Amino acid sequence: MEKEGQKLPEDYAARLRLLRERSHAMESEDVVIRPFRAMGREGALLYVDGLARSEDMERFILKPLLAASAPEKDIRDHIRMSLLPLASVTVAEDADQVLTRVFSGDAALILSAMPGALIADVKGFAHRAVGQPVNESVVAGPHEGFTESLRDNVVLIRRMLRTPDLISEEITVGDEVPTRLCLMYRRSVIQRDTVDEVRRRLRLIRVDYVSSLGMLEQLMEDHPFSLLPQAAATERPDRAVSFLNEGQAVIVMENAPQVLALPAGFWHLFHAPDDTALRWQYGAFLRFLRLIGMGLALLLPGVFLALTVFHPEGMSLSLLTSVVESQARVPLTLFASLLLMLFIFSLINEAASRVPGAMGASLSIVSGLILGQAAVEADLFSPLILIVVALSGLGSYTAPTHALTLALRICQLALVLGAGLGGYLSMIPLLFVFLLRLMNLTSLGFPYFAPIAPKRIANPDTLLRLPVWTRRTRGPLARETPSPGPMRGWEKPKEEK
Amino acid sequence: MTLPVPSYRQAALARDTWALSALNLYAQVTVGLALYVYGAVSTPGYLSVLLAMPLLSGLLLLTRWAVQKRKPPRTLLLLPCAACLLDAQSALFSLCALMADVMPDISLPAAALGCALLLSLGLYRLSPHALPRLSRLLMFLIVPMLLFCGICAAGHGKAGHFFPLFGYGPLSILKGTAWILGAAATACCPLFTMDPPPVKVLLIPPLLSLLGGAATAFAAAYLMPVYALSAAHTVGWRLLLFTHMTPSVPCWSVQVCAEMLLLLLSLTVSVDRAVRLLGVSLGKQAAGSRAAALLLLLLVPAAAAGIPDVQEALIRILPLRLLLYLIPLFPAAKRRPES
Repeated sequence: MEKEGQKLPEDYAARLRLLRERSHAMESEDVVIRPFRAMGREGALLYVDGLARSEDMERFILKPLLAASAPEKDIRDHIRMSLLPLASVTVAEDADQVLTRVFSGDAALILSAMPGALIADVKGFAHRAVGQPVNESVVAGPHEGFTESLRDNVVLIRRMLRTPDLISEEITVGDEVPTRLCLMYRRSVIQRDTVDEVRRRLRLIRVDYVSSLGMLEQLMEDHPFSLLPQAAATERPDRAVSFLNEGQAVIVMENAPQVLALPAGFWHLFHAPDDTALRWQYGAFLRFLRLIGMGLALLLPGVFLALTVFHPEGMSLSLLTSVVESQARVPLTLFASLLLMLFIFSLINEAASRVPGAMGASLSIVSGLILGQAAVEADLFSPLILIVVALSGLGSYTAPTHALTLALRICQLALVLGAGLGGYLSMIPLLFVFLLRLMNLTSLGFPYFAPIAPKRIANPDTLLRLPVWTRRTRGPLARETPSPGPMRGWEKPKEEK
Repeated sequence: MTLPVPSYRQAALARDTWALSALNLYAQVTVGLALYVYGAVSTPGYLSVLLAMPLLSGLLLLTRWAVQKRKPPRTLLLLPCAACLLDAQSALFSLCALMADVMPDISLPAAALGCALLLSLGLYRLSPHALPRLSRLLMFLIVPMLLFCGICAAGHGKAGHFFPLFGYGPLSILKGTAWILGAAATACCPLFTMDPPPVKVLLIPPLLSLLGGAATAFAAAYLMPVYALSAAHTVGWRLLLFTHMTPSVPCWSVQVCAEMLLLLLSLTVSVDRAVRLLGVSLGKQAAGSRAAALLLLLLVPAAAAGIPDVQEALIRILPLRLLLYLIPLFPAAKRRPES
């Protein structure tokens, strides 16, 4: 939230002293105040070494100033409009504004007999080049991912959505350390209320410093205690563009290699980035597979436990015999074995995400051979338990977003605990209550499971991907706009055939 | 939440509320079949099902005419509230009976209390949109599951054993008619607290669910094994009828889960509606989460008591639901419509 700062004094010496003190230039070696004399006046250039590009300052600020003669009229206007050949030169009147811009990579120019300061955009800090997304790889579709640079990320989106209808508003959050955000939306597509609500929530965040996009998400969501996220984070510009085209707002934050789309429901998390890029038959098949996988992840361990411990009449005799035989030599109960194996699986997952790349192979050997094969051969675990946990783990990985995977695993654990208590008789009521609370979720007021529950007019590709030319609307979040006509306009109408 | 609720969402709420009523009605019809019908099996009488449909349609239209813009006196809303509580009691009782059939060693008081406490948590600060949305999701689950069970059971029974839906003898038929009309009536309880939807939305979901219930009865009557005709079975056994008819192993799990979900939904929605009617009768928008928890706990003792005694009591009391629903309609009909 922007607050009113301390106004810069008229006196040059006082101005310089204020900026020197507030920027702690005497203590920080990389905060530089470069004094100079130009046009018969004393001046200084304030910048952070490494954030601002030295060559640009030398060529486009100092050189023209030192060579210029004093103007007859308004010196600030003369410098800004006629002297500095830079793309962006703005006026700042208060110290907080100056310091915020300087510590973002700009340079501040102050001159005696010139009120305020001029801020020149000479950013030149090092940042990662655009590369492939790390966590959202696809088979078909672009392979570019967002980086930590706010400007680069906005440019990646603008390159894909080349229309003046795409608005990008700059907002800062953080009371002590401002963090720059860009709120992007399509003016003709998004609903007015949605934009206003996002802006309102950003404006009313009261925190010293927003350290990550995840923190911003938690400060904005409707239900902070829910397991499921109510915003969609993505590393992919193509996915961000599809969110924009469906009437969502996208928040780009500096130093975050992801963007946040709001509002977002369950189906935004369920759909994978390349569903639309593939042929509809493949997309539909993969979504069906994903649905089965997520169902297995959620229910398989609990159902297995319920049937083997409490309801053996629900299993075939041959399967029951296998279970009993394999469990006969295991010292732990089935419930304990299953819980322990799920815990070990989660440990392996967490370790795999933290281990340095070179040690990845060692981790595979440890988890596969030692924990898997050796544990079974030593009769510590039943092989059926391993199969159940592995299948449910694979199923959880079919979820396109990491947040959904983690939510599935936590729910799975709760259902296993329920099944261990009383089989189906405790697991089903627990599942019912989960589903009931899920129906209570909203994202910026938008129902979480729309357009299925409640039913809304939407394209017929929510659950299974149907042909792209069957789409008639932008989706339940966008403003209603008339369809331009059949997508396959080159086809002759049926009556002419 | 500060965003205004768009009109399409209100329309979706109305539609989903009636879908929820339909699912609840199907659950109550299933419970009623298990209570009233399966114990009296003899000669064909299924035509009475078809004769009941015009009566039901007339009842629903009468309700709409009487209640539309003519709200009954607030205190009389306690009567449909009691009707909803009877629905909730029969749902919890059936759930306990089913649990006792699945796991005979289970402690019924603990199971009933556990369900009540869990559902209290589920209803805590629940938005009025959540249950209707849940009905839409569960319909995708429950209907295919029950169809699967029906398909598994098909061909494994002995054909030709029809029985009258309402029993036989005038008193028996009257009692059976009253319970099914009462079940349909409580499905119309939302009309007391919300604006009536279009007639098509009002009639079709309940009619479809009643047809579904009748089809279940027809199919079960057609396929019921001979040995079931004379044996005295519990409500839980009857609710899981398909699983006793087929050797299919997955059918057992599927029907247990489907019936449990259906009964849990019926219990939750009945308590939720009772709470809303209670709140409106006391002059508030809603009675709150604590009232729901209290009502759920009040249902536990009867559900957990001896199954045969409670079953007999329910068989006697359930037909009175119809009266509890009809009584407020007459003062409402006398009032002038509100502008």
